[in-house]
Amino acid sequence: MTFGTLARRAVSYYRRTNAAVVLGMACAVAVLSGALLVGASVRESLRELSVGRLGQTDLVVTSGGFFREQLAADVAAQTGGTVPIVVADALVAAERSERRASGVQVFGVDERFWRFHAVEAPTLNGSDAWVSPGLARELAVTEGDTLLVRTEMPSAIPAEFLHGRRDEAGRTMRMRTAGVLARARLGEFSLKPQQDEVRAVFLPLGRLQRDLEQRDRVNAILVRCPEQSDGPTDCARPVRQHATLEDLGLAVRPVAGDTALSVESTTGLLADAVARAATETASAEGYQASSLLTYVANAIRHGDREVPYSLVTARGSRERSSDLPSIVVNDWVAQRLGVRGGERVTLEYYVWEGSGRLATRTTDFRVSTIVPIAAADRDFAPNYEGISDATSVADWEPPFPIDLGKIRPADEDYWERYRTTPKAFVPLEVGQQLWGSRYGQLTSVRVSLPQGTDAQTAHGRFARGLRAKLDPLASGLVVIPARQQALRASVGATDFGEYFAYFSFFLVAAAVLLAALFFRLGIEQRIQQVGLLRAVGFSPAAIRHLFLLEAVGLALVGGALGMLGAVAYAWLIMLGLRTWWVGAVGTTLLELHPSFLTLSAGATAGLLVGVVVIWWTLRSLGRASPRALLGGDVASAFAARSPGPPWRLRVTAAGLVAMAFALAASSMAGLIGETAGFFGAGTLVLAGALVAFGARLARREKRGQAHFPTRNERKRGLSPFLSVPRLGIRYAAWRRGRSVLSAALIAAAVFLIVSVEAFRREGAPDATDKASGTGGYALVAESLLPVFHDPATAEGRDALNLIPDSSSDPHASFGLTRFRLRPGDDASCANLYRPQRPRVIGAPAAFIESGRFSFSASTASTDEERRNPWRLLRRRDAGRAVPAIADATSLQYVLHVGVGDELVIDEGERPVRLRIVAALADSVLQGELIIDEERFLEVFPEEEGYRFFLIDIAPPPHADSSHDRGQMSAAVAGFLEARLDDFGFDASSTTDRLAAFHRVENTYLSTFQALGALGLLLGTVGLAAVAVRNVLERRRELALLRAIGYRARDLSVMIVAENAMLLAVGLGAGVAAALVAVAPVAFERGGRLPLLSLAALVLAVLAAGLLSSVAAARASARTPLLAALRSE
Amino acid sequence: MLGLHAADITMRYPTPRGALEVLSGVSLELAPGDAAAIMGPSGSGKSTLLYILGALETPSSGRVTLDEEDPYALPESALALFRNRKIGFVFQDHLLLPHCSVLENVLAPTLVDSSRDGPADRERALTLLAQVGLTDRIDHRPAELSGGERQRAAVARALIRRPRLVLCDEPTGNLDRATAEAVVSLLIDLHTREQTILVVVTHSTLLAERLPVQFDLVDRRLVRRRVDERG
Repeated sequence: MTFGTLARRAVSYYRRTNAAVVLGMACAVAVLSGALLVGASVRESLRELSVGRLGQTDLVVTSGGFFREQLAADVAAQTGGTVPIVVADALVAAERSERRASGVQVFGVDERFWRFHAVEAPTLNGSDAWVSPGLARELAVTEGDTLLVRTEMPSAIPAEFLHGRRDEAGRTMRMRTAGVLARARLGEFSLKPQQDEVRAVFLPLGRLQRDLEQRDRVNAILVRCPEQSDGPTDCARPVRQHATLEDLGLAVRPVAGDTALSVESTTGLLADAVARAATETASAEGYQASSLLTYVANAIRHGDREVPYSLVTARGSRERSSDLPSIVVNDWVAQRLGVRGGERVTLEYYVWEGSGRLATRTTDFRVSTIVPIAAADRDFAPNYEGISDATSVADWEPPFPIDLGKIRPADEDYWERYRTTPKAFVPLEVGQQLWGSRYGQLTSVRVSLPQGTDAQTAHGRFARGLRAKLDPLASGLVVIPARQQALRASVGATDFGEYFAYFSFFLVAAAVLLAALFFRLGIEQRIQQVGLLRAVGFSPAAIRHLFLLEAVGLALVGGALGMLGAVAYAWLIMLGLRTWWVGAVGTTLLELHPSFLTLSAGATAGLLVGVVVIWWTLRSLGRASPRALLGGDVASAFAARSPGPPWRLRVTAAGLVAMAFALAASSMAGLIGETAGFFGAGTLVLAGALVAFGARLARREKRGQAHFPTRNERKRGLSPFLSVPRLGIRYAAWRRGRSVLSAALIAAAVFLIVSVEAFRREGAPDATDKASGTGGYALVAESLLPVFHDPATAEGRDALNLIPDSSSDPHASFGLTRFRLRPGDDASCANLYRPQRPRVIGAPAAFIESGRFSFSASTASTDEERRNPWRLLRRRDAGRAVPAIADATSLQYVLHVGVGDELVIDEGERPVRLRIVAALADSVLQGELIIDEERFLEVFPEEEGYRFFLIDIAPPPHADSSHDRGQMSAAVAGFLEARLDDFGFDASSTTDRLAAFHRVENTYLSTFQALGALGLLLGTVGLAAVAVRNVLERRRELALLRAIGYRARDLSVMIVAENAMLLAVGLGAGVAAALVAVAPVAFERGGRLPLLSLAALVLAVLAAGLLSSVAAARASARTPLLAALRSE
Repeated sequence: MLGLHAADITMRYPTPRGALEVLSGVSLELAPGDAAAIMGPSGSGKSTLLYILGALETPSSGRVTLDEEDPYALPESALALFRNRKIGFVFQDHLLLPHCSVLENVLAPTLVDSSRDGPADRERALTLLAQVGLTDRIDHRPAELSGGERQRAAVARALIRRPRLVLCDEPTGNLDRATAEAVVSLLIDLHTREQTILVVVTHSTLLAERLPVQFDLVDRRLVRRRVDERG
């Protein structure tokens, strides 16, 4: 016989009593392990989803423009496989169903795509289009339906440059639906981690290349890394090796009769780094290099004479002696203008203004020299589409307006003989000031070859030298480690495991405490055995050891059951996430992924906590005298050390509550995080309230008085317990520990439910309030293609066809505030994945000055900044990151950064550092980071035009109801979508968008409240169990009361009164704790809390608790009490 | 006719082997001021008879009246009030409420009568406690009292409602001889003073002999003990 045997026998013999302990432990383990399993399952589901959608893709080689399709074949041998594709965003309309979808992914592919992914290829010819299942559903298309796929027309020349083409931005392709491509055949192929349905259309590569005028060129290569690859950098090495100057959009060509080389870019402008590399390469080869910037002047004017549409080249340095910048004109111009050296000429030219229009500017120069035409040649200018290849000036088709009436025969004669040969030269510094842009400051670098140099050899050597100087991955090509990013993103924006574990805390605590309580009650039943053990020589420590062994045995059984329960619990939660709470996760593809490791971790933690709590309850067992124990004196069985006099408990309670207030105040002052404040303050108030309750019970119990005498009774000096309910309440003090525990179970669950409810967003936001989450804007819109014209100007509205022309068009006046957009990952709470490259929008100055929206936090240090935190975006602290503002919810729950923190956006070789300077409170701008437009152009120079819009609507005076405003918004949205259809314009109501965010947040809260409800269920079960236990324990006393005339109803009143008091204390403590904990949120919302729903919740809790008490009372009424009176 | 009347009481309990008869044709008549002891071996049905007389357990057959009122004809709530107003109990285990003071325990029966008079009840409780010698113990908890003191408190509780019938189930079973004698004296004294009907179930001949009438419960029947059988 050993301690183990004894413990094992006891576990077996008292199995009915122990079942409750086992269940409690199982419950704790199930909840904890289940929470962790949910987190792991969400992560694994997201991983499977994103990795599955990538197929065999490890890397994506892409570029802002197009490059040789052949590059894919060049690098194939050194990788695990490659496939060239064209990727674009599109607006897709279905002709039959008349439905349309924007933001659809277009993939130009051929059979190599499916071969690369090792899946069976569908037939894809001519105008076939295969659609993803999600898109097919959205557009309601079936095989044979016609699809209109509108996508951006690629152009190497930036649209926001003089030669950029802005009016032919899109191309529409008429395709025939070949079928719906199943998931197994890569129908849900996506390079972007996203949990919602993939909306994609697969077009024949050749067709797309032809329509986009990019024959044999692609803008993406999918790369499979070899197994022995050392990560993305190693895998991308062949791309660095095989990329040519052409792939980088560069060309080196022999010019000037093979006496020089010209380095040019297909964009028309050379990036600074490329120009530097070209100059260095020339220097290394011993050649002279000169920088050129050639521009079109609308006129060169002297007096009343002018030469129209001339190319002017900026080169060389400025002469400082002159009052005006110098200009060199060729003798043809001098003759036409009748100008001599030292005389003044004026250049008139267009510049593209950031606001989206061409402006005509003039600059005066003083003629320094007159040179012959032969001083330059036609290759001083790069190839300008619509100009260089024109046979006459009259045939020019430039993307800017020209007045052909100004062209005279002499001009045509010059064009015919000298083509693009510049007619004038200005200093480079001056030219760059006038015509330089964010895309580059030069149009070419001209390298002069020494006399006698073999041009062909020199060309080859120079091109190779230049290529070697350039890193393709820093000069145009970008390698995106798609698989790695997908894996990183799969960690999730929200760690469900973490949140479920947080919100299951009280549930676990309740389960563990219940288990400990039942274990203790079990021991109390066996108290005479404890006495016997003491009598036969067991020390108190040995007895505790024995019971602890039993506890460990029970915990192990409970743990094993709990692990099974965890799988069921996690399965149920995952089912909930796929169905009831799908609004929070936006996908039905989340699956349970059981993991023994995760289950074991949760089980170990749960068991450890359970055993420690039981050990703690046992710490005083057996100290009482064996005689008392043998006599069945339960009260003395757990002769715990006194918690001290009631005053000490009261001081402790006050200290805890004071600490809670300090924490809440610190959270409001921004000294500590809101989460720390939330849980810290709430828990301390909860603990404080329960200690205070314990103190009150102790005081009453010590004085031998009943609870809560009325004022009148105190005045009259009457014995305060003069009613049946108070007799019941009185019992709570007798079993103080149980009473406090029961109240604690309820309080914890109420705390969770009420505090979570306080975060719920209720009511429609005000679309007219500029300080609200809508910013006072009625609509938010996005366009597929960039919009360049400014709709704020009459000219821009005209160009965009935004002038209402019929009675059906809206009469409201509306204003569009335009933002530049760097597309990226959605940073709102609707995205489950952790954004790797969040969307960024560039806010214009007027928007910044308007000071709309409200902020929950900022780094403002001046009154001006505090009045309008948007101004923080304009701060330029040397060496600091670009200031950015984001929605507080996105920052906290999705991006996981705080105000003042820095965020690095992975832009390949040039990461962009953003510093969060303010957080918007509950705004419609939840999906993006906002920076100043000027800074936007610096860090994202390749992003062109405006693609994000906030729209103000000023309805007519009679439209004063929200219904009228809603109708007006819908009318304006319809009008804009129709007129800007070519741009793929998609507008939606700001209130709808905000409400959608609120729905997601509220659904999350509902999931957490469900955990609270489970906690409450456990709490009420605990309360009822304790009540029943108390009834059983008091059987003889209750029987006596029956004997002396108490009715069954009186006993019920006593039991219900006792439990109602515990319930009231639990409710009060829970609500008080929750109110303190949510004070920062209430403060942020101007004191607005969903009081109605909170009151409803509290009443529901009260009703549930009372019902459980009534159930316990009814159970007691059925207990045969008379038997207890018998003495025989 | 006033007093306690039990006529032809039979009590059977169902068991797996058929009904077990505990009492058979038991009859008893006691007038106000009478005191009787019921004796018998363990399991003879003494306590069962006591509970039947105390309106706690309905007999299988027969009739019980107290002051011409049949408690078993009353509905549940009236039955409870009947017990509260007309019957006092003293048990072997004092069955005091451990979380209440002595005074509170004595007052406990008063709580369920809506016509109660709080101050008057308190006065009576204090008087009774003085009579049982517990004046200086009124604020003490049962755990702080000796066995005799607890039983005296139980006696005071039994009398607080001025009952017509006081039923005692082995009131001295857990007491030493001296204490038992003191408690018995107290019971008889208070019974005489309050003119109640006193019925005591006991094994103790000593206690039984202190009462004017004794019964034996033999073979399920109540037999009055003759004088020559005493001792």
